[in-house]
Amino acid sequence: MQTLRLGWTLAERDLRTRYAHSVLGSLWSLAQPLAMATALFFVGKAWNRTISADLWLLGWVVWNVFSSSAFSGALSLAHNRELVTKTAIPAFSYPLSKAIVAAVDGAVGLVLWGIFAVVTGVHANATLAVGALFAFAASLAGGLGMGALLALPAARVRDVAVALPFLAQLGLLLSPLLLGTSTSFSEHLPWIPGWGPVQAVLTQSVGSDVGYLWAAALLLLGMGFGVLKRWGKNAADWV
Amino acid sequence: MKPFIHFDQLTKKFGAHTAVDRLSGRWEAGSSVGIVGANGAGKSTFLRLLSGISAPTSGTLSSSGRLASLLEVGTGFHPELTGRENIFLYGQILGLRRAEIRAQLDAIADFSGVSAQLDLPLKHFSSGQKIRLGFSVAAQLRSDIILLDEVLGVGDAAFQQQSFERMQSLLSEEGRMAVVVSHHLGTIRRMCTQALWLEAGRERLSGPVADVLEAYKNAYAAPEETETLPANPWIASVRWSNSLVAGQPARLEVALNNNSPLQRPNLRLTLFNQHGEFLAPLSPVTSGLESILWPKRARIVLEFDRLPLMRGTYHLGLRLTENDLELAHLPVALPFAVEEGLYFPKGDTFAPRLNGLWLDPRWTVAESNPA
Repeated sequence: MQTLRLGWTLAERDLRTRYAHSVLGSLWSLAQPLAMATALFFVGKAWNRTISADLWLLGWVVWNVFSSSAFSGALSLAHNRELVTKTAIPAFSYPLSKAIVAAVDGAVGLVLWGIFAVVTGVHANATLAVGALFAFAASLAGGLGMGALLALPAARVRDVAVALPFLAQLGLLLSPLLLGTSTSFSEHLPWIPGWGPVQAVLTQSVGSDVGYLWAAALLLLGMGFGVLKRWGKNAADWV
Repeated sequence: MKPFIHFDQLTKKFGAHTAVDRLSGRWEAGSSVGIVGANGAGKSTFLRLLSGISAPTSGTLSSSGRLASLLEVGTGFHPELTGRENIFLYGQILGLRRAEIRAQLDAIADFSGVSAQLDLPLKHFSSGQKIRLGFSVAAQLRSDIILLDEVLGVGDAAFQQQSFERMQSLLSEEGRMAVVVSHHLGTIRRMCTQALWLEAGRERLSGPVADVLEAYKNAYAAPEETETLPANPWIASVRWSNSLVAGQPARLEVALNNNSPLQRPNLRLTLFNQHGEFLAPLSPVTSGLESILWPKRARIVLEFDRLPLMRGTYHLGLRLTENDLELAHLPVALPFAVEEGLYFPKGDTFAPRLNGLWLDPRWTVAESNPA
């Protein structure tokens, strides 16, 4: 409970201060997913992927929840050195705070998608909406787990921290968002949450592999929590 | 169950260096323990182990009761958030619940003395105001066990007294326990019932506070010492350039190791008596010498025409800042002794006492006007 409360506190700090000195302020929360979905739509068109814009938006939102919670979570201990070395905040609170921020961003994206879907009427169906919510939750859980797993290595070995942004970009390029739906990685690597859910959303088939995805997401989450519970106190010596 | 801390063979190693070496003990509710020792003795590392911030390399640690650690005032403050938002943020980091903070908000604001600025971003607060705000939040802690690391010596002298009294009042409540790390022996003496003296990570002595402090003081007072080479990369040396006699000229020299000029620098020296109690502050800024820039490897000299200290042993604390950011903080930068001498040319009407200041105001005596 304390972990959750402090995770929320740190997330609130990040959210409140993120757009300080910015002219557009929190409008960036809307502009970013829209701009990214538009860009992906045109890239997809150029690659002859026939996916409509609202599905690009949805796919990007779900992917972004995973990648953002995983990669900013991985850097969360290294980036909070002062707190890690001076306070007894449970180590899991740090990646958790990043996942909460990712969830808030993702929720904004989901609302945008919902409006878009209703206005265009192309994919306004309950199955897809439920699938999207499941994919969103699995991505969040898996991303948080992966962030927690990587947080200590990133605090200990700075090469990991330096390489992570690059890996995040690479992950997007390799994800089914850009690879398309028929021969995506998720068919071969269904245990990687964030890729599979996006696949499920894009193909509008949320049935068969959702169980695997949830199992993978919860496994990652459990491992990440366990690692930080067991070795989290080492962070104060490593950051 | 009454709050307690129990540790057995507690050890912390950083590579080949052993910071805390096989410490064992048990402290119960109602006791306040002061931890003393030279810089690098392992005090703060030990406190971090007790706080649960860092894990021991070996040994066991157990405790019961709600534990709060205050290792630095204002950790986690964010300059872009307002004073009010930072109160909530910092309070929750320290373990307070939002409802507790809300209920105490007025008290926190009053104690800090910055009520009028609470809705301004913290970046517009002075460094002193930030410290006051941070301590005011911490003063609301209602934990069974409170761990404090040098946080009672922050702020100006009046605020130090105010915060000290606040902590004493908190600790006087039944069932509380405190572990206090401080170089200020006066603070330890007034707040604690027991003391633990650490040396190179090991227990040198523990027991009733008076006994431990007496032994510690005798070992470290070094009355003849007039120069020291502090273990800080910014400070090359702190020394008196002559032997010290009350009422005679004296010259203190602080040599810095700065490889580039310092912008808006300040050097604050604090004079303490043999009990570690505050006597007087010294700073070029408060004395009217406000500098924009100090040169590379700056050498700061203070000259007294007549040293206003009575016979006794003292020490100087030192804090070096640039643009209000702390570069060096040495609570005991230079212990020294002053020999007996005549401060007033015509002699003194009081027998010189230990550890005091000679003051020389302008005196006048006149008949009062009838009301």
